[in-house]
Amino acid sequence: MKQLFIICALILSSTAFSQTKVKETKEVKVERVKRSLAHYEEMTKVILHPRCLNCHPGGDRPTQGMDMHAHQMNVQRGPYNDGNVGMRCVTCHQSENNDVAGVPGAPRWLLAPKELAWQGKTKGEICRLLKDAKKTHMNLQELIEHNGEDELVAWGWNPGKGREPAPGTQKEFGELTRKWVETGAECPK
Amino acid sequence: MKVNINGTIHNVTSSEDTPLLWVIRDELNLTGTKFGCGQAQCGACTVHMDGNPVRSCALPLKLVGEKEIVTIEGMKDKISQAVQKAWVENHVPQCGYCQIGNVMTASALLAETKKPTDTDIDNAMGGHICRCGTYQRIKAAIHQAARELA
Amino acid sequence: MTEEKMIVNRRDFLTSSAAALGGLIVAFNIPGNNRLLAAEVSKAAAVYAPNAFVHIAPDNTITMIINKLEMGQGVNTSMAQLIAEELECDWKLIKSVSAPVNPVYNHTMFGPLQMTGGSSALASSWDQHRKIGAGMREMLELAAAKRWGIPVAEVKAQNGFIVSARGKLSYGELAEDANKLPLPQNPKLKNSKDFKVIGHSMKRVDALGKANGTAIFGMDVRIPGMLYAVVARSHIDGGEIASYDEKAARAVSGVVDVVRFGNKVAVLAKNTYAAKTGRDALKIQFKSNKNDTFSTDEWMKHFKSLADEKGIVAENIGAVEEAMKSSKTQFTADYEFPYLAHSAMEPLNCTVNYDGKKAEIWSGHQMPTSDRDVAAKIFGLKPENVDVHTTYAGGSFGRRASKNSDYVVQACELAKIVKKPLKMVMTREDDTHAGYYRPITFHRAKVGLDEKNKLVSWDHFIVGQTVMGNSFFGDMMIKNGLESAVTEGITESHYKFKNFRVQQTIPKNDVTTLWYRSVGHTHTAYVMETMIDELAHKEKSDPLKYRQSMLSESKKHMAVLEQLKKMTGWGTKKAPKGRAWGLAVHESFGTVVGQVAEVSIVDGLPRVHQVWCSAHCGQVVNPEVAKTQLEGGIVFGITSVMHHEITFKDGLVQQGNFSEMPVVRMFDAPVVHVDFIKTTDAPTGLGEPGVPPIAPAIANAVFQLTNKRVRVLPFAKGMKV
Repeated sequence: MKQLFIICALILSSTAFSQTKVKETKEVKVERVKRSLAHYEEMTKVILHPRCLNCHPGGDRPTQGMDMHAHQMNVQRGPYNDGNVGMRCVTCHQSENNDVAGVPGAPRWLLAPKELAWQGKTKGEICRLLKDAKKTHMNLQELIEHNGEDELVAWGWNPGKGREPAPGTQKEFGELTRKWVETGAECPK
Repeated sequence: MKVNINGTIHNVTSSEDTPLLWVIRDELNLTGTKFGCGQAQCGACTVHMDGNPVRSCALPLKLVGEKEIVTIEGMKDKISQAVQKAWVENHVPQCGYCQIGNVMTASALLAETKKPTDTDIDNAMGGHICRCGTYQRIKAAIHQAARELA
Repeated sequence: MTEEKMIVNRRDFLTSSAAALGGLIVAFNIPGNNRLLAAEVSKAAAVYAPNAFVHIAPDNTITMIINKLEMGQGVNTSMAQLIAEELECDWKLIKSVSAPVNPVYNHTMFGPLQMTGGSSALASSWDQHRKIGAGMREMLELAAAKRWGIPVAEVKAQNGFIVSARGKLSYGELAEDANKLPLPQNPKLKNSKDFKVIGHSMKRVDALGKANGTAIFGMDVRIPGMLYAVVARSHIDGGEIASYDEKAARAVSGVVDVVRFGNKVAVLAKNTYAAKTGRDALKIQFKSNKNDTFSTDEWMKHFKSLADEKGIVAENIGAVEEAMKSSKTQFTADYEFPYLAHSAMEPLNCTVNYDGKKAEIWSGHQMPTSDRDVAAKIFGLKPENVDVHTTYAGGSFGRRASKNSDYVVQACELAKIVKKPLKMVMTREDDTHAGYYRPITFHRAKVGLDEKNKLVSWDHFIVGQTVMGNSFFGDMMIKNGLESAVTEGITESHYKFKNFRVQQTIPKNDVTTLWYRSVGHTHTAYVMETMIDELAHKEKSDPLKYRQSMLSESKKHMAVLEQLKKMTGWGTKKAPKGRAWGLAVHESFGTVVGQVAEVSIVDGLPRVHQVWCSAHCGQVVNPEVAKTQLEGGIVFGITSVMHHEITFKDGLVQQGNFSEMPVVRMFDAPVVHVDFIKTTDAPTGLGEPGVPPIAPAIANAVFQLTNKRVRVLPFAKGMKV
């Protein structure tokens, strides 16, 4: 399955590239890259928001809050990104937000895998991660869907009472991702 | 609503947004499960849902569905008995209010990890607050229970 | 759940409470059922009334009636050990229950009052309880000798039986005969070398119930038809109600009633959650008053300014001012300590059953006499018509010894209006907001040093809010404006100071305050022990040797320091790289405790890896239980100084749940090594004395790691100052 993803990703990205490459003049390319980078810049407003970064930690401990402090209670990634025996994410986080208890929740509450750590990385590094199908386990088309439709990603804009949502809407984020991909998914340095 | 607790299906009348904790304590009169914070901060209310520890204070009744809930009153298996015995022998409980939650998590830990390391225990037990400060004895008791079960 | 099941449950509960002893247990009463119970009991004197403390059933089971609150410190075990040692009974057949309210159970040192506190349970019961056990044993021996027709010298008590050449008789069989014999006035107590129970780690009698969920805490008490009440209160008491939405509360499913009483509003419901949801729906507003602007930042500034003025002299040794003038250099150290909430695991609650003629109340009562008396006053009943049931307490740390019985009062006021059984429950946030905090305190230490940087003069000023004021305890214990609970630990120090003066000022406001595990020592030990460490460093002395030179006349301190040296290898060994050892030693409640904390800095905060702890607390009654008190005191002490503080802004408490008051958890708790000084002296306190030294021990280690003296607490704040 994983291999299939990678193959698909390669085909898709190379097709997109070859299509644009044929017609592209230098001026067009400059303009396209500029637009792609601008789309990505917009995307980073979401990507670098604590609502998203908190579950893409650099180490094995998720963070929480706008100040991104280490998750209380010694919460750890665990072997499957869903915590450890005795304290898995679902010990506290259910399939929906619990505003009474102040505990956020969404379906499949878990951490992004370690290879997709965003914290401590530059915009460029994160960008290249997004395009690395070996790590994302999805091609760019799937990334558009993931960003625009995934129900755990959706939580970023529906974080529950008292939490600042990620900027914009998930639909807009998906749309931005699409535009970024369509313009060649260019990455800053 | 129906809820499966300790192997029995109960018809309960609490509203669907009522945390499972209060259904267990106030409606079903099973008072072993404790209220400490209401925010999944302290772990005193821990029960098992399909074998995994969950904080019943932050689990609305409507999300329980047909999942099997086990409270301390239903913990009769070999592991939990060994844990409780180790709790007594290591002089773990002081005020004891938080210990039920600790016993629930320790039992779940030992069910999956036969010989937990100190780190395994730290990782599993971090959700529990004990104001009496019994942590090192909890750790010792878990190791002892693991030895007895080996 | 059917009504029938609930009644059964209640019976189960009642049979395990002392209230049932008269009727349900066939009791062995010495000497005559209620003779001593009813007798005039001298005020605050040790009472020798075995029948009130021990019941022997025909099946030889022994019920110990414990007149102290089991709140985790182990009294249901250790107090029973005192009696069991002399009674020579079978430990396996013992159970412990909490005493009802009766003068016979009054504290032998404080009072007249039945209470638990001041780390005094064993110290105050040491003679009384052993004498009770010995007296009963002698009567049982005499009863057996009479039955056999042999001299009493030929019988011997052994593990629940009286044995002789004629055979053996169980205590249960002899109980009735013994009951008719006169009470020996001076029973012979054992020599400590013969102890078989005292000094031994008997398993806690409450441990299994607390591990399997059958132990009953106040929160677990059930009365058929009982309503649950959650109350809306202002953070600083006295706020008059401006408005609340009764309709919204009543609209919540399960809500039965909304009751205004005084400046509070209660929502009563069929379950706790409905009551809490209804209470929140009230959206209560209070009228503005003078406390609307109260802020702890401003209050602390006010404290500092008061330290510039004159205080009341609490202690004066030598001639501080002259010595200060003669000193070569001086420095001043200002310390700030916040309000602290006790935050016991069981949020405060009280169950009341009042029918207009009599009342019963259930809670983890730390001062059951005053709780009963205020209840009686509210109901207009005679105190004897109020039954007080003391359940297990899910922690207290002083909070349940409420000088005004605050939460009992609220539950009773409500019950008087509602006239239905009810349980008043605080949420975690309510518990945090309800006041009765460790007082906010400011210390200023001004010291003068000679040319060799040796101390010549110490002028100390404490601005601290009262601990016991605004209560009848305050009336008793605050003399001439001086409150020892504010200065204890700075005053009457064992350090040999030549010139030493302590002044005190007690400012007043409307925030309620109370004792908190180790009371004044929570801050005085910090100041004293960090200053001593600083003085040692100033003159380039080893902190342990410096203390030895200053404490040479206190045998207890010297023994503890020596034991710590052996435990740690102080002077020969060193902390691992990146870590440092900090030392502190402090006496409180008659016990000297020394601690060495091994500390590193993680994310800008001290991390305590391990702690060595030596204690001189007299005879250790139950070594393992005693160790748990010190282990727990250390963890409690770390929490108290790491993040914990109660701050006010615009008259409102800024903290609520544990997320805003992070508590030490297992992964950041140290490994604690405890040892005791071997002695047969009478026991001294142990519940509290483990707390005071840990904070300064950490701070002294932090100094070695960062060259910084933390003087503003908690560390989360003070490390950044």
